[in-house]
Amino acid sequence: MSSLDRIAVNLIDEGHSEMVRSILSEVVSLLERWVKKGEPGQLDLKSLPLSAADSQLLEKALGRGEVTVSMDVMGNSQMIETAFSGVWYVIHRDDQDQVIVKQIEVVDIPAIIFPQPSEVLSALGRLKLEVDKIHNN
Amino acid sequence: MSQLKRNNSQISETFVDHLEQHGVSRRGFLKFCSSMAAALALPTGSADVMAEALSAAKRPTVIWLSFQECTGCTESITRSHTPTIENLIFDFISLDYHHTLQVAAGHQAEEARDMAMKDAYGKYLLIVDGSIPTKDGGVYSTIAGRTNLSMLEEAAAGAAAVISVGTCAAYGGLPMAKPNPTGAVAVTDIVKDKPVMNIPGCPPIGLVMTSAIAHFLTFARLPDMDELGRPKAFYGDSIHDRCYRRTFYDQGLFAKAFDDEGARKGWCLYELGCKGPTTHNACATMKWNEGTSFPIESGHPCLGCSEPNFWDAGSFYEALSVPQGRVGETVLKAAAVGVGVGVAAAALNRSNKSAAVEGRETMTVEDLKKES
Ligand code: SF4
Ligand code: SF4
Repeated sequence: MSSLDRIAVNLIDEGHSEMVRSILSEVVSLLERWVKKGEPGQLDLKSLPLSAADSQLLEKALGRGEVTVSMDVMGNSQMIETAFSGVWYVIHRDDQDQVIVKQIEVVDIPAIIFPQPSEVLSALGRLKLEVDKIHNN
Repeated sequence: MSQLKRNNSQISETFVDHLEQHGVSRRGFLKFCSSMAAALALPTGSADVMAEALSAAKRPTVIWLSFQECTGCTESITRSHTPTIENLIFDFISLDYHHTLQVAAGHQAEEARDMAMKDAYGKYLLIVDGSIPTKDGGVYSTIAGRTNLSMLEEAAAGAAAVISVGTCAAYGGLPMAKPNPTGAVAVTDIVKDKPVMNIPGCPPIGLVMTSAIAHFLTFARLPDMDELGRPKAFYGDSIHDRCYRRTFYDQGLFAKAFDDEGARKGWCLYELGCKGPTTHNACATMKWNEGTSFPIESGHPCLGCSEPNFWDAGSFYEALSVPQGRVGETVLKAAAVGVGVGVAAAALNRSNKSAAVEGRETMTVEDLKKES
């Protein structure tokens, strides 16, 4: 957390734009594509001029699902399932807690979560060593 | 488990090992690639392509020359004390000469530059910040007894591409402001026969610089540029079209003084001199100071720092004389269109793959690969 976060920011009510409606329509299209063709999709939220009211409206519309995955790799990342299966919020922060990616991903489970086969193989080797160590002690 | 879900699995193991030795895991690397791909508005799946390409890429030589400048641009790219994910880019390049950052000094430094240029002749990436004085034979700025002009001419001759970082290198900037005592010019006034990309801003945003370099490393070419040589992904829209105060502009609600009620309510700063409508930059969405805010969010009108001649474009506090249309040509118009695939994509169309988006087609990773 940077010291900048300690500066109080007075949020004004900016009203909300048409942007949220467009984003939601886009999410519908992406989910349709995922269902029909199995093609994952994503939508970058960080580059859109969303006011605080817009973000709140969007979050309210998409709601929260049952799954949240937290990942600590060079800063925290969160993959948050929305109330709609297959629609995820993906938020990557850097090691100074700055949001570097904020997007909606449309896929069963965001790909970054899955380990690689080679990693699993190497894990098997390491685990066996660990077990051996315990046996030998 | 379907292959689809695992499509990030082709990253070269040795490269991941190399990163791991430097404390960066494969997921950390993918996170970096995601942030670059998102910043560059590349289509779904590009983060994996980027990861693959970067893991296979040989670290290219980068030579960074600083001329008439204030070092603000270098500060911007290296702005943090702890290494951030953006700084990972330094793992993918071999920064062989940067006179502010390198340890070597004097003859040793100049020798390092000569050697790097010789070894990677025709292949290295040249980055320049600062303008180039040309009056009186260019004597107003010299390094190791050589004028900036001759140094640039020599270094550009062997470069694969040139990136002008900051408004000074891109368009002359402050040193070129009237009466331009040193006869300062932009890089493109000198370098005519190489691809040159401008990343203007006073200073430019660090992530814009790193993403542009990542694009060059991934696709072996510079990203799509506008008529002023700027990557469209970041400079495709005006500040006005990305400004969160835009809703007030559209309602005709303007602050008339810095301390009036309108200012307190966060109304549009147009009448206080905001140059947002004529300025193209990424700060309205990428923001400054660890993503905290950007000038307009802090109550100050945009100065237009990423546009040519912004110092000489009249008072910073006088309203633009050209009346602006009620609805901007890009973002909100696209948003207002309503439904269907590509609407938010059009709003997001910073990379301006306009043909694809206008035709409401989806740009794919394959298309991108084909283009490169
Ligand atoms: S004039 Fe300036 S403050 Fe007003 S909406 Fe445009 S960019 Fe924002
Ligand atoms: S608000 Fe305008 S002057 Fe300020 S950094 Fe952004 S583009 Fe430059």
